[in-house]
Formats: sequence, structure tokens, C-alpha cells
Amino acid sequence: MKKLMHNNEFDKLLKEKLSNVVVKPSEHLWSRIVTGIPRYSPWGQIFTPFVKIFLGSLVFVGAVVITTVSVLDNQKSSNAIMPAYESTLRGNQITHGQSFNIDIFELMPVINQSTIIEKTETTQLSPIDPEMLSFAIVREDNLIVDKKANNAVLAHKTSSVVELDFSQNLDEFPVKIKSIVGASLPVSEMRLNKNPISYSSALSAAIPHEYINTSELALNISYQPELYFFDSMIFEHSYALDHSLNLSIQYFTRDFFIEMGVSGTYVSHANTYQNTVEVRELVDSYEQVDSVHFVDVWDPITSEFITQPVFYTSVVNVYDENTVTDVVSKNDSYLYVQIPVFMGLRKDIRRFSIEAKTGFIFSSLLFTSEQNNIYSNEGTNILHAEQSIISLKRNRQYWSFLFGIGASYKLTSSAEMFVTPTYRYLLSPLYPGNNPSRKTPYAFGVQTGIRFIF
Amino acid sequence: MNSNKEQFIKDEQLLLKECLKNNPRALKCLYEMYSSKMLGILIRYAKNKMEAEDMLQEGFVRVYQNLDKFRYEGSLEGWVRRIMINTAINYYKSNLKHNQLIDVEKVSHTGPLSVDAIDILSYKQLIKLIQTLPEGYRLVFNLYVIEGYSHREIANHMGISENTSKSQLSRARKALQKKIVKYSGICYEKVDA
Repeated sequence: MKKLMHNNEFDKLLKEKLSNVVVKPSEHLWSRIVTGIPRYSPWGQIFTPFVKIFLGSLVFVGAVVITTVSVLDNQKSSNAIMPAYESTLRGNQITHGQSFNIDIFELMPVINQSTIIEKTETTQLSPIDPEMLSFAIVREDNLIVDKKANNAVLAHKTSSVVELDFSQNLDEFPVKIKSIVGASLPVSEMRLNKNPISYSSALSAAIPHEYINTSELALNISYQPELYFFDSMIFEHSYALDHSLNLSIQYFTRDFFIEMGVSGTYVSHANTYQNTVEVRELVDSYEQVDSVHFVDVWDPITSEFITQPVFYTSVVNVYDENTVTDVVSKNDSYLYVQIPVFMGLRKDIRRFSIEAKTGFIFSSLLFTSEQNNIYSNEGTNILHAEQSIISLKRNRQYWSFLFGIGASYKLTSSAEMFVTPTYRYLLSPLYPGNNPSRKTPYAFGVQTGIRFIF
Repeated sequence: MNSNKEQFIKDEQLLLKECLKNNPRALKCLYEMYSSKMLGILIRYAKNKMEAEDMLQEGFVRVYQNLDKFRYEGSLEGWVRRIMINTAINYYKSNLKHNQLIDVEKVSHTGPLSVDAIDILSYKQLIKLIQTLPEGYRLVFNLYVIEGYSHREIANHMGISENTSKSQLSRARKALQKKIVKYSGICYEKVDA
């Protein structure tokens, strides 16, 4: 027997059954909601990471600058005690076991550890004093001292190599030449270190400027993939890989350099779109009587004419208009042109150099596949259709800050290859003001390329 | 991040405090805590899940916009629920002008319904049947039967008279009973007076 109920019971039963229903929302919903949330307070979200990076970069660059300046100060003080007279020493005057009065301040640029050693087979010198090991090379008519060289010295063309004893105080003259070790060592052109820090401070004052190559121009060609991280609240895919092809010119002066160039950047990023389609659906049909005619028809049963109606009908379709929305993910392409301006520092260590750079990049959007209204081919049942972007549409221009620290390797005296890991932080918003979290994207990248030095 | 979420779930005040500071994790945590429950409510007010999600979206934006107005006088869930229901009512009102008001069917008299007919249907099936009700019926039915609003409150919210609310409820109830019977295949029987 079926149990029957009244309205109250019906209500109660339905309430029990429906009041605790839980339905999981679709995955895209949060990204739709978050676009409508009012902006976050700016200070905590925007500037903290930028300030950290910026201050870190400033500390790094500042430390190097201060160190450099202090060395330059030493140079100045050394210059102050530089004697006025000139040496008359010439390479061809040096003979075995002979002592000379050598003006230490007239010595030529020091070959130090960061000098590129083109040939090392000439290294046959044994240390005089492990603590005060010093070598000297006679180049044609000039003396080059390699103070505390490890195991290599250079000679130039038809040169003589002599061994000097610097175990005595450098302020005491004459410096005694212990022996002539070799002569006529064929060594190719020497490249001097541009970094004055690397020179022995005692001898740095003696470096004539004409022997120091203080400025260079270089052309860089590089490829730079960068992984951008976006706000995961807005984007289904919270990262995107950019590919940049960079062309830049660097101007080196001592250890500092400035860099300017141009880049082309391609990125593919998944955006969330909402499709709204108004459709016209056939839901029912009925037969409509258009007209009625009466005709006389012979009835064989009754053997008489009877009047019968004839209905002329047509089928009328009943349509219902319905709006269907759907959220989809679509990969959009972006093509940017970027103009970087950097400054940096570089320190040479033999064939390797460590370099740090920081600066700003202006990016301008050349092309994007972001679009609305993709339904161009509307069907007969589609009354209206449009596609609108839920995730944010990109701004056409933005500024970013980049910091990179990397290394280069000298392939030849005029070509290097370099690898520089980078960190980029966007200073101006990539997305318009509706960016709810205002979390600006940041990116990690690696710049790899070749540098041609002129 | 998980520990944060656990903290937020345990401490409602901390959650609200962080939401007011615009902490994205807190905002998302609030959403995750209540979105499923609220969608479970709104799906009864909508004609399909998509429309319910539209309401949920609008409702949550209102929640976030008005978080500073929450006075801890009741539970946070109750407050969020009220906002969602108000959103559903507003949704109905804003769509009213676009909706063609059709007297869908003449509801014939139905007698009391068998308990078995409701028992046999899952909550999903019941929701589907409720969703097929005309919007006005659906709203009044939900507000009165499930949310427990009085006819006066419904009339105030919807801008209709109490009598209209009563008649809408009666029609909604009968229409739903008829649909339940039809869908479940269990016939209702009249109770002899």
C-alpha cells in the first residue's frame, strides 16, 4: 500500500532531500569570479618582490663599484710615489747573471691570472721563492713582469725571459735578475685584462695606459627562452614560455659595459574564453487549420449525399530561443618587439668572464591572436554568438626590469660565447586595470649567444 | 599553502581578516569552502548548471565586495547563503523583462503524492524536475519550501503580493508533484475525504 502525503509532508520531504545538496563548480569558475573581485591593495602585492630584486641588484652593483673605486684609489696613491726618472733597460741588454737597476714603475703591464694565455708550453720557469714568485719577460724593448704568476708567462716575438727576485722589498732597488731562462719565445698577441682589480696592486701603478685596452665594442646575437609565471587564480595555465631572438651592441669600458639592442619575442599562452551562443531550437510543431471547406459526398451506405468538412492545414513549428554559454581554453599567440637597455659589470678569469647586468626592457605588442566573435559562420539556428575573453587581455606595451648574472668563454680574441640566466619582473602591468590580484608576472630565462668583439 | 588553508578553515576570523587584506589564498580558500554548497543551493533556482554558475559567480563577487560589512552576528556560511539567495532573486528580477511570461500549463488538480514517488528519485532527478518549473514558480517554491521564507518575505523580495506568492506556490507544488509522478512512474492517489 502506498503511503500518501499532504503538502506539508511533501515540503518537508523535499527539504530534507534537497537542503544539503553539494554540487562541484566547474574548474573555470574561479577564474571567472576572480576577474570581478575588487583590486587588492597594491603595496603588499606589487612592489615587495620588485624592491627585493632591485635592492639586491643595487647592493651587488654597488659592492663591485666600491671595490673598484678602492683599487683605483690605491693606484692614485701609488702614482704619487712614482719616481720621475726613466729606465734605460732594454731586453737585448740582459745577459745571464747580470744585475741591472730596474725601474719597477716602468715595467710594462702585468700579465696576470686573468690574461689569456695563448701558449703555455713556454712555461719552464721555476719559482725562486714560492711566496714571492715573480717572473719577468723582456718584450723587444720593454720589460713585462708577471708577479705571482701560476705557471705561465708570455714573451713577445723575439723576446728574452728573465727571472727576477722580488723577495726583497719592492721599494728597494736595484732588483736583481737571477737568471735568463729563455729567449725568443714565439707567442701570439697578448690580450690584456681590462679589469684593473686583477692587477697586482704594487705594480698596477706602473701600467702605461697605452698598453691597456680599456674599451671595446661588441655585437651580441642570442636566443633567450623565458618561463613566465602568471597568477594561477586567473589563468588555467599559470605559466608561458617566451622565445626571444636578441641582437644587441655592448660597449665595454674597463669592467663596465652598457648594452642596447632589439629583440623579437614570440609567446603562446592559453587564455580562457566564454562562448555565448543564442540558438533557436525546434521544440514542437502543431497542425494549424488554415481553412475549412464543406463538400457533398455520396454515402453508399445511406445512399444519399452528406456534407463533410475538408480541413486545409499546415504544420507550424514552435521554436524556443535559448542561450548556451560555455567556457573554453584557447592558445593565443603574441609577437613582441623589445628594446633592452642594460648596464653591467664584467670580470675576466683567464678565458672565462663573469658578468652581471641589469636594466630595463620596453616591450611592444606587434601581433596577437586574442580575439572576440570567432563565430563568423553562423548557422541557421544560431541567432547570435560571441566569444569573450575571461582571462585578461594583454596590454600593448609594458616595461620590465631584468637582472642577469652569467659567464662567457673566449673562443678567440674576437669571439665569445656566453650564457646568462636572467630574472625579469614586469614594472608596468601586462594586463589592464581589471587584473584582480595585480600579481604581475615574472620570468626566469637563460640568454645564450655569441659575442663578436671589435 | 595547505597549512594556510587549514588555518583558515579552523579560524573563520583569520580567514576574513586575510580576505580583507586581499590575500589571494584566503580569497580562494573562502571560495573553496562554500562554492560547492552554494552551487547546490543555486542549482535549484536556475534552469541549468550553467545558469547556476553564473549566479554563483555574481554571488561570490558580491560576497567579496561586502566582506567588510560582515559583523559576525551569525555564521559566515549563513551570511554567504543569504547573499546567494538574494543574488538568485535579483537574477530572476533582471531576467523577468526578457522572459516571455507564459502560462505553461493548466495545472489540473492533483491529489496527495505517494512518498515512494519522491523516495525513488535521486536529488539530482528532483533538481532536474524543479529546474523545469517556470522561473516564478521555481523561485517561490525554493524560497518557501526549502529556505523557509514566509509569503510576506517572498512578496517583499520579489515585489509581488502575498496572494500571488501563495498561488504561485500552490501551482508550483502541483506542477512539481505531477512531474514527480510522471517521472517516477508511481501514480498518486487521491485520499478519500
